[in-house]
Amino acid sequence: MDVVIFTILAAFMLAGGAAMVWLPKPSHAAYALVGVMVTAALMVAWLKAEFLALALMLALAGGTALLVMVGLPLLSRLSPLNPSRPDEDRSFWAGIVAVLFLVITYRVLATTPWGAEDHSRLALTDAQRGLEAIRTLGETLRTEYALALMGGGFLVAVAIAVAVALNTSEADA
Amino acid sequence: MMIFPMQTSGFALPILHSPLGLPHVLTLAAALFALGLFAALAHRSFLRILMGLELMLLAAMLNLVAFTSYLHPEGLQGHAFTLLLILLAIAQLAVGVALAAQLMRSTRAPQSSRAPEAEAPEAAAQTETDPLNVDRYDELRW
Repeated sequence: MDVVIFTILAAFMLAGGAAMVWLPKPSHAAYALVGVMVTAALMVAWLKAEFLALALMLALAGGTALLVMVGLPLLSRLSPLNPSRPDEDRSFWAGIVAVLFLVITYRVLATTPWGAEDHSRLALTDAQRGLEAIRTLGETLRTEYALALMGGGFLVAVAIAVAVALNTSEADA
Repeated sequence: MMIFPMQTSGFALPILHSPLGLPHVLTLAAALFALGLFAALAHRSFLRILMGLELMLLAAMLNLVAFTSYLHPEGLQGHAFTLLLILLAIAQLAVGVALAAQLMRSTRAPQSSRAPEAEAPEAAAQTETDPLNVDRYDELRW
């Protein structure tokens, strides 16, 4: 059952990602992006991180959908949004870079023990030591710096609100 | 050295023949990241580049959650990082759209002043009048 769920979610994500890249209309591409985000949230829920899936769905997918529904029509009032496809000149080199990235990732996956079925084998590897550092950092972020994190979030929210207000006042002027 | 080793470190490749696990999620995230990278590099529109960046951030989030779920299921550290990344992605998107609005105002093409013959090739004219085309940034006076 897990294999079926993973395959369906992966197919939806990849199809949505490809649609985002190749659909000519910006609004259609943005809707494809929202679709990918919703599918990613479902994938995160499948990975047993339900709270995070909810946060992803509400904050990121919801925020993106809101921006698509409000931001793009507002932008198109300023100037029509032209349909665009990947540029032919750039596509060649972009494709080479993307394929190179995939080859390097494949190579890393093949030479690290992350794929091992028995994860206890990681105990003595560098990967585990790196994980320890990340764990310590994450633990600190979650406890001692929680206030700073919330403060940072609040400041970002204020910055966004000010940016929107400035844009609105300039548009009115 | 083989570029595509079939069996190393106890990890049998291709992954299609191994049971569902961390490598599959990592491969999916890598494919998503590659798609985002392609979008960010191949498009000339500011909005499309922004969408590509969002896709790349989403792939990074998927990696963090997968590593936590498979390697450290009792911990929440990866989730904390992912929350931070979600915050970053939303801020990036909001600031990006605000920047796009500003770009549209500052590079709005003066349609009336364009020479009629320049509008003949439709595609070229569209590129020249597209305020979000990154090739037009040289015209901006910052």
